[in-house]
Amino acid sequence: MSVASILATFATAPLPAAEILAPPWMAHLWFVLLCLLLTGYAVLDGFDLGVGIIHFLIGRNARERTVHTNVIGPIWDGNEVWLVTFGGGLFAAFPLAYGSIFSAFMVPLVIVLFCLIARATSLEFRSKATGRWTVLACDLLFSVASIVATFVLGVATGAVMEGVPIDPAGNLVLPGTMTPGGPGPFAEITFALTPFSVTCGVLALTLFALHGAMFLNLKATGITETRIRGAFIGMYLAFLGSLLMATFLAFRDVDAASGFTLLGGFATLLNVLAIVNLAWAMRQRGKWRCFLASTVMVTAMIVLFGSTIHPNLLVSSLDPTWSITIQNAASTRATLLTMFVVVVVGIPFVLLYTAITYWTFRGTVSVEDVPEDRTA
Amino acid sequence: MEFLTDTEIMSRIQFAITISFHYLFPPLTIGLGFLLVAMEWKWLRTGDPVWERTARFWTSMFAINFALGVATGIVMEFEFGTNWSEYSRFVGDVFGSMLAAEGLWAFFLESGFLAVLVFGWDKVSRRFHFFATLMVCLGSTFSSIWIVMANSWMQTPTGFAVEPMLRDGVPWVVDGQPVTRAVLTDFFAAILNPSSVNRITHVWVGAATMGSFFVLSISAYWILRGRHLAVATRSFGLALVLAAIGTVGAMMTGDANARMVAVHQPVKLAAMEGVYETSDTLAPLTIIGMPDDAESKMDWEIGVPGALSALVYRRLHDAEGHPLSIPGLDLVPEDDRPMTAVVYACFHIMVGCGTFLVGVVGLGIYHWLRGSLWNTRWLLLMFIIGVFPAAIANQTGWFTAETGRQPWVVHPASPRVDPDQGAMSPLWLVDPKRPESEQVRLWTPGDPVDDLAGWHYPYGRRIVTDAKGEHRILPAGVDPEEGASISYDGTKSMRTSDGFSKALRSGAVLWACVMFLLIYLMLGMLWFVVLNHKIHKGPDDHTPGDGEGGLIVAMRRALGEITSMTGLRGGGSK
Ligand code: HDD
Ligand code: HEM
Ligand code: HEM
Repeated sequence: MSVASILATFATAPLPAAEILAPPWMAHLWFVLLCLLLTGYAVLDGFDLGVGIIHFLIGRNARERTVHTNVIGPIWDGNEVWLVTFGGGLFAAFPLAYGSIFSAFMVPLVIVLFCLIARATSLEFRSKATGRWTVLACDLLFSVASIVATFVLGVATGAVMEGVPIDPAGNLVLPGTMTPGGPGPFAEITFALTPFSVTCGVLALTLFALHGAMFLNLKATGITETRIRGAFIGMYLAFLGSLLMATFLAFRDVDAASGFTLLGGFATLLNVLAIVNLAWAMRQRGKWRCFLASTVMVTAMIVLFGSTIHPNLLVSSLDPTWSITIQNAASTRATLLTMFVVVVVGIPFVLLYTAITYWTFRGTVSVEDVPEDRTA
Repeated sequence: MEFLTDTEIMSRIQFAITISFHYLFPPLTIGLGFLLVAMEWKWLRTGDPVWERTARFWTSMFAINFALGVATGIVMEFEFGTNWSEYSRFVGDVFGSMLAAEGLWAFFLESGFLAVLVFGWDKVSRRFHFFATLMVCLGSTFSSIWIVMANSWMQTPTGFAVEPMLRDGVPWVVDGQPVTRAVLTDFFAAILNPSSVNRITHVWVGAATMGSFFVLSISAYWILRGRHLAVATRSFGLALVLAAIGTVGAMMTGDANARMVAVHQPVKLAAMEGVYETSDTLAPLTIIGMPDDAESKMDWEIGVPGALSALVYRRLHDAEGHPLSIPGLDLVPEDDRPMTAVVYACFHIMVGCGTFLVGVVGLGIYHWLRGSLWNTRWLLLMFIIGVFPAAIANQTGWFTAETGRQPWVVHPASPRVDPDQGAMSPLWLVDPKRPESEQVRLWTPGDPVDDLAGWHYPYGRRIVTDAKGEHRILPAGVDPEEGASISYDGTKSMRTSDGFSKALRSGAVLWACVMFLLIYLMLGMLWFVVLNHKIHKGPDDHTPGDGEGGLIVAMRRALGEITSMTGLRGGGSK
């Protein structure tokens, strides 16, 4: 479009009629819906990424690791559905934020997508592989991809909370743009790396590791169970450490974190209860309670994230008036309404699918079930 | 290699790589879905165990392709945000909802029914399983509807307005320019835009062709090898019927598409056919030839005289006896032309593949009726390789549609859509079969319709703008220097060069392309290994599987190839 023609059109054109704009509550509703979708993703893909993170920690040989891949194999696909819905929902509800967030985080996102597909492929290849080294290579790829994906997701979440350098148009300004040499070769990654965001990455790793362990604990018996019990204290402490560190840095570096919100306070309380309960349930060997506790922990984290960034979707660290708020980014009323109906009808089906898959693959797996020669 | 440092070009290349890879799988699953329904129907009606084995085998094939479609679809979903953020911001209100709807339709089908389809063989009744298959087939067909409607809206947008964006209640101005966006004004007009029905039907027959040739190819291979004959011959028969519908349908709907393109995107049609110059005579249909963009002419051109005019208009002369010609690329400034060589080549490859497939299917049916098909080895060989032209036609078809759209990402609306802007475009096609309200015609303010001397086609005539700013059609043969041109109204459109993400550096996009190529290499290998394994094992072989738990193995296990629940207890491994 030529500049002149746009200006010519709007010099005389009236402002958009009030009825096409979405009322503020609708934008809030969509914010909540997107947080729900994100929670669904974090809880479900959280444990299958988590199993990948502790793949080598818990599985000491190929045969033990086969237990993990057998548990994850049938379900990873359905878990990623939530990510897709989240992406589509963000595009339709807040196009401005969709464009800004994903173009700013393009490189991290490509890494995550690469890792997600690499995990899936390595799982499938592993189930076909027979040679000792091929299986080991698949295991390594599976584990490394899970670790990298989780870490990058954590870092990106942290960076969004802290704010990124976006200009008035919502485009990322790479650090070093103003310097004579221009941005460095890795500026697309380094812009997101701050003490807080890196800590968030570590926090995501330790949280998903715990969550994954609790899921494995539920689905596996025998030696796997023993190993999880053995590694529990270490994982628990690592999680606590990174949580405390992240909390400290949040108060130091993230402006929005210092304000108290009712929801944030509630999520914190829930989180603390869940964390305590997790250790307690582990002592009492309540497998379901453990898993429930780690699920609540993941949920609480997303609620904290949402309540921190609200009412923004992406904070500009250069000038707060350039931040993208949910009101400014929202689509029109007609679109939000249509989409709302679509999502409300769709979600029960997604839940149904999830339920059917998990029901079909209920029951536990143990090393004794894995044939000897798979240990090659 | 300077394009490597151009973010726009690199983003286009990245999009082309990722969508082409994605589009290998959806047409296959959509087409295969049709066949699965037919197979299960047969099984339901006859109770014949051969049909059951047939349905089970192809269901497991469906599962793999579906899984790959999902894995590659996730990439597509985010790419609009990462590489085309300006575009996403501009169209999000209209396009975003269609895309999200596609996602959800995909879930509708994945939801529940896919799980039943793959895992539920021994758990639910036959009737219910058939129902689930039907739903999965409907679901993937529906998901193609949404995405193709979204794409069609980019090609022939309707049902929207361009409005300034507000920020905190006042117009949002960046660098002295108001920021605008497309807002949905009429949902049904947007999804039922002038090209969506044409395009969807063509995509479906393309999918039917792809799915049926996939089955034909594998079955023909077994028949040649003399293996799994019961399943192979039955699959072959069903697939041959679908292939006949698909290939003949591709011809018919393809022709309708070309005529639609002629009305709404005349520049694309000129590029597809390599028409550089608007002539005053009938347009020939080029059979052989190579476009030369630098010289703006065709090399080694051999064509059928008048055939293109005949195809587009269904006749050669208008009511007054003037020959009907085709507007050429010379009617638009050079900057507004697509890459003619690519559009032309892709279009001709698609049509070539389609013609080949129609021939193969025709011969197949002939020999089938004569009962000599299973012995005609060379023909079976043609069926084996036929899966490649089917895939190539699907790919090159999209390349034609998408590269022909350039330099626009949201193509300017056809004047037909908004008569108030009629003066913007001189290219109105009058169709005597349409009611008057739908007429595409040359409209001049204050000109009564009748003054256009009945219903006739303005093509082949020169259109001039006179001193008063009104348009007139000149009879053929008038000096073309008088300002003839195709001028789109650019205010409700977006150029590709305005649509890509300004925050990106070309190096990052290049890196992303390399990453995606790597991952596709891996996925391609996986696909190949699994397919190879299955084709060689065939439907009849019931030896237990490898006893491990990937998704695909899990699906196989649920298909009964591995007996125990976890596939491990007691199950031997090789
Ligand atoms: C097996 C697949 C297949 C086959 C045999 C054909 N096509 Fe096709 N064609 C497609 C698969 C396809 C496609 C991939 O599905 C496209 C891309 C966009 C679309 O709507 O369908 C397409 C696009 C497409 C377009 C462009 C539409 C646009 O620009 O929007 C035209 C004009 C045709 N086709 C015409 C034909 C003709 C005249 C054929 C005669 C044999 C033909 N196609 C065979
Ligand atoms: C840029 C365009 C496209 C995007 C963004 C896109 C996005 C997606 C996504 C995210 C999925 C996975 C959904 C899930 O997780 O269940 C998917 C799968 C699918 N897509 Fe696409 N898609 C595009 C183009 C197309 C086209 C052109 C078609 C068909 C004509 C198509 C048909 C399908 C189908 C049928 C599936 C289900 C999986 C399968 O059958 O392989 N998509 N797509
Ligand atoms: C499924 C088959 C498809 C194929 C093979 C395909 C192919 C392509 C190609 C080759 C390009 C690059 C254009 C160029 O280099 O000139 C492109 C661009 C693009 N396509 Fe498609 N496309 C497909 C479907 C879709 C669909 C369904 C959508 C929308 C929903 C879409 C949206 C776009 C966009 C936004 C661009 C980038 C802008 C541009 O370069 O024009 N495509 N596509």
